[in-house]
Amino acid sequence: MPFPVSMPSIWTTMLTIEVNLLPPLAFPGGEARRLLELPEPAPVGRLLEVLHQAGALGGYDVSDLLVMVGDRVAARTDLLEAREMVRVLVLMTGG
Amino acid sequence: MLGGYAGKVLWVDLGKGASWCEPVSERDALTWIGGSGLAAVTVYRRVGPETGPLSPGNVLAFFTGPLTGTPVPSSGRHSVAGKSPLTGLWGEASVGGHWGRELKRAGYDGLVLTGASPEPVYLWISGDRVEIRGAASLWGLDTYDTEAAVRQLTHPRAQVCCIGPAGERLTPIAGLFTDGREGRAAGRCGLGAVAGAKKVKAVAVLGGQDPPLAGRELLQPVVREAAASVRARTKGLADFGTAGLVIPCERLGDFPVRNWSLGSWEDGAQKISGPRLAETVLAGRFHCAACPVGCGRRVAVDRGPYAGVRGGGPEYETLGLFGGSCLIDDLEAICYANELCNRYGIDTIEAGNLVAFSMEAFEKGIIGPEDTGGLILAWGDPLVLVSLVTQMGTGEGFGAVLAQGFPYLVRKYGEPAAALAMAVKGLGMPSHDPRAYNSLAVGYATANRGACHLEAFSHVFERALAMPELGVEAPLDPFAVEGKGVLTARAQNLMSAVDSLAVCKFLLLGGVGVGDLARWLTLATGTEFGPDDLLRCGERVFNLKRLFNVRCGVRRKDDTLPRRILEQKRGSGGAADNLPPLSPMLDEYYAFRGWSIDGVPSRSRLSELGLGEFVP
Repeated sequence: MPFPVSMPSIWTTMLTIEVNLLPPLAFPGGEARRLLELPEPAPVGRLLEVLHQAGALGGYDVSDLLVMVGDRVAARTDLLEAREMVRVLVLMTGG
Repeated sequence: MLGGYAGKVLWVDLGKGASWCEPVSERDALTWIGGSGLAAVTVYRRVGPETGPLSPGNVLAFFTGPLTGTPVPSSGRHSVAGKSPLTGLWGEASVGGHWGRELKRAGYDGLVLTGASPEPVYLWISGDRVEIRGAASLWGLDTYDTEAAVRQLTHPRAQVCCIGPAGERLTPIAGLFTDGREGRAAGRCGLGAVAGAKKVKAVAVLGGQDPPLAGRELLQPVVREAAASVRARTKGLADFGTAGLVIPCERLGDFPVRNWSLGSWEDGAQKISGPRLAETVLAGRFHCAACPVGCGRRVAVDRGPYAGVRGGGPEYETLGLFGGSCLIDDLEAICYANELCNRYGIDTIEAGNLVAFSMEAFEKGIIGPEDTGGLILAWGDPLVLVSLVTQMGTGEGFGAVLAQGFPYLVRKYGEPAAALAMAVKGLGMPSHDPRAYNSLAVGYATANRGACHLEAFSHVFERALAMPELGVEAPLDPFAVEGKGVLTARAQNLMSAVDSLAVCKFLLLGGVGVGDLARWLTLATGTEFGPDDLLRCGERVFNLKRLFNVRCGVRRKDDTLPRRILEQKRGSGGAADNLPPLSPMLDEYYAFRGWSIDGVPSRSRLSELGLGEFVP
């Protein structure tokens, strides 16, 4: 069952994407994956806003996050496409 | 003397059983800052190409920085340096914990050990009292027990730096350890074996006075504000320690998998990740001196075959090499192997690379059961990891052969083994893949101690961090080529300055810039330092270490990477198709540095840096 994140209007096309939150991120129910519906066009930044509003970011700031579409790092302005598998993770570096 | 400095260095000649102090001149302080810089000039002046790393002629130099023991955040580090018994080249390790601050509070900017004692000894330094005491009762103890025993013999609050049995046996992958069960390691380059050759089991220090500061009242509010900012920007490190890097690094193609031969290990990475560690074995966290981050993890394993583990948990590097590189997804086994390394006094980066190497060499028939005493070195088998690490520590079986390090193994097993040896200049690669960040390729190839991500730390500017003072206005494309030679050189200059200040590089992740560091140094010392002054000091330090290596014969031929990194794609994951084009990046790097095409610093550049007296 897709997780509705906004109310579609009659002239808005919705697209469904599969979102995989990698630990420590998780959806409020604790699950790692959900299908999300987003109105088109759906930039990555919009997805992050939605996740933030859904309480899925575990106290991390949106600027701390990395979004990967497949194996490619996506910019905030990249447009998501239907049925894409999107991973969202906390970007840590250094070490 | 400038503020921030104790003003003197303690020298101990172990052959003569004598100790004395030498002043830190204002000129040396302004030229080399401290930490890594003062260590570099001390070692350079004393140790030549003819000096054997395990001979009495090698020195073991411990240096704090002018910010050590001050309120500056994350200023609890110190550098240890000497000629490396593993590589025969420049050897250095930087470590956090509390020992460096205590040495400074005891009234010393540094400690230099020369000569060799005929019998095991430990040093007890408390203010002006310096004693060389017999250590027969300590010889053979692991590092955890050594700390406890030395504290009983000296003072309950003494800070103890020591070696384990591996260092005593002169194992070239042995390190020096501080902070007891928390296991803070100056692990790299085999400097624990240098201590072992000098028969120094431990150095206990106890201090009582903070160093004088020129502008304490001005410094305190500035650094208090900085500490709050650093704390806010390093939430991931505080929440999960460096183990928190496992998942993002695996996804970005920056994580070793199967001796660096594969691109992805997603399920395995999640099983040994920081969040998993927090859910399972985490027992607490700890901070180095003056650190607002607190990335240290305490772990406890209560059940199963590895029950009894209690102490510092595995860092990212350890998880990458014991985990991904060996395909071992048993977190408790990794915690156990990590504790074995800490207790025996072994560098986990080197050990992990060597175990992964042995698994692949076994698979390819380069070594067989006749070499391993019948042990089947199967990928992913935690018992193989634990067995080999134990043997490395006890000096028995095939593990003792592995513990001689990559240069020895390549000589012993020849060209087929060389193809699997993931090392630069003989030093094993840390858990960051130059195929994921092109600047890392230049950084590994040119780092003075061998494969090292910390001498440049440039990869942070290729994904996460901007720093206009380095010419990085926004994070760079990791796979771009042009400009990466310059970036690496600039980043090495900055990191050399950071290591000379002896502060933690995680400050940079917390938003601290070159200007902040220069201002803190100015307020501590009372002498004006600008960002360019700091970078120039860093450049000077990096070049002096290069000269040390040039004197030992290092040239462009040595500034290279394992063939696998240059020729074999990871094939999947975030860096599936990238191979770093090293040669053009190296050309750019040498040109920017003012080095010859063969990698030798030019006379004119050295003179510009004030290094004229060191021109070969």
